[in-house]
Amino acid sequence: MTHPDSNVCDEILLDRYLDGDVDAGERVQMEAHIAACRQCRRQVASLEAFSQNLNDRVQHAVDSVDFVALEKQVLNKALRQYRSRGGLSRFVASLKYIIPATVTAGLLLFFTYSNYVLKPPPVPSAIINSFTGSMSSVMIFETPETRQTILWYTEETDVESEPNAV
Amino acid sequence: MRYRFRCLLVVVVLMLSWFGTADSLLAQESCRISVETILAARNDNVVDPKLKRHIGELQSMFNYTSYRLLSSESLNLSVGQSGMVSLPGDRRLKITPQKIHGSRADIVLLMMKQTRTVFETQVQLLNRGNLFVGGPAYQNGNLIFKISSAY
Repeated sequence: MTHPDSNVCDEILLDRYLDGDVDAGERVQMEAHIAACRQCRRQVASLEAFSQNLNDRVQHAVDSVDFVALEKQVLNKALRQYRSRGGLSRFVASLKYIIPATVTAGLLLFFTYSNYVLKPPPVPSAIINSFTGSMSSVMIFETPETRQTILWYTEETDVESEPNAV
Repeated sequence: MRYRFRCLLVVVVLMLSWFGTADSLLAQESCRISVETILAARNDNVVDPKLKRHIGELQSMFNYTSYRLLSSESLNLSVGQSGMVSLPGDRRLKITPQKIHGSRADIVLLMMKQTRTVFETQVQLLNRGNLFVGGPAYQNGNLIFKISSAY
């Protein structure tokens, strides 16, 4: 670019001129310089062509975008993120009911299983540690299934007794 | 805080109920002893409806055809305390719980007829279990005493 006074090319001023960032005096001087300077004319032409090309490409890219679909895409993505955050917080909130309910159910299961399902094999209903007395006979036995203990005795003076009852 | 307290309360209640039914380790001071007097005979086929639940297995072992409930008596006895039950034929049964441990109660039974002692025995009776004591002749059959404890 040409300096107004020295008629020297000033690239910075040229860029400003191309960007329209010059005052009226600078514009008049730049136009006079470009008319006289072949190098600056070429540069202006090159930059204008580049700028035009860039604008065309940007316009083409913008034209090829479906903004309605893009808007939907963005909205859907935002909604998904919102829902996932909301879902997670709902899940965390529900944990305070799920955990005690699970613990309670587990304890109930354990309680039921250990007391009712896991029944130990039957044991004798009575264990006779000692037996003394005056009788003619005594038998101790138990029923086969539920192991009910039976103590069968015959009194000495019992004239009506039935020794063959069993 | 309230929520944690509720959870803790639920857990404590469940644990206590489990211990309570699973032969509590808490010491028992008293037990309920019941004595049912049954007359077993062969003159008919009558089985007292109240006895059907307990007699079923006995029927397969004895050759009696009828079982009649003559009397039933219950005693709430503390450990060391004695109770007396009157039985047919001028008999008496003295019952003394000595100790309750785990699922069994140590009980001393003293059978008397008139003034003499017929027998004395010390048994470990299962909680809610039965001991059948039988043999004495009575009327046209034999007496069976169903002694059970619960605590």
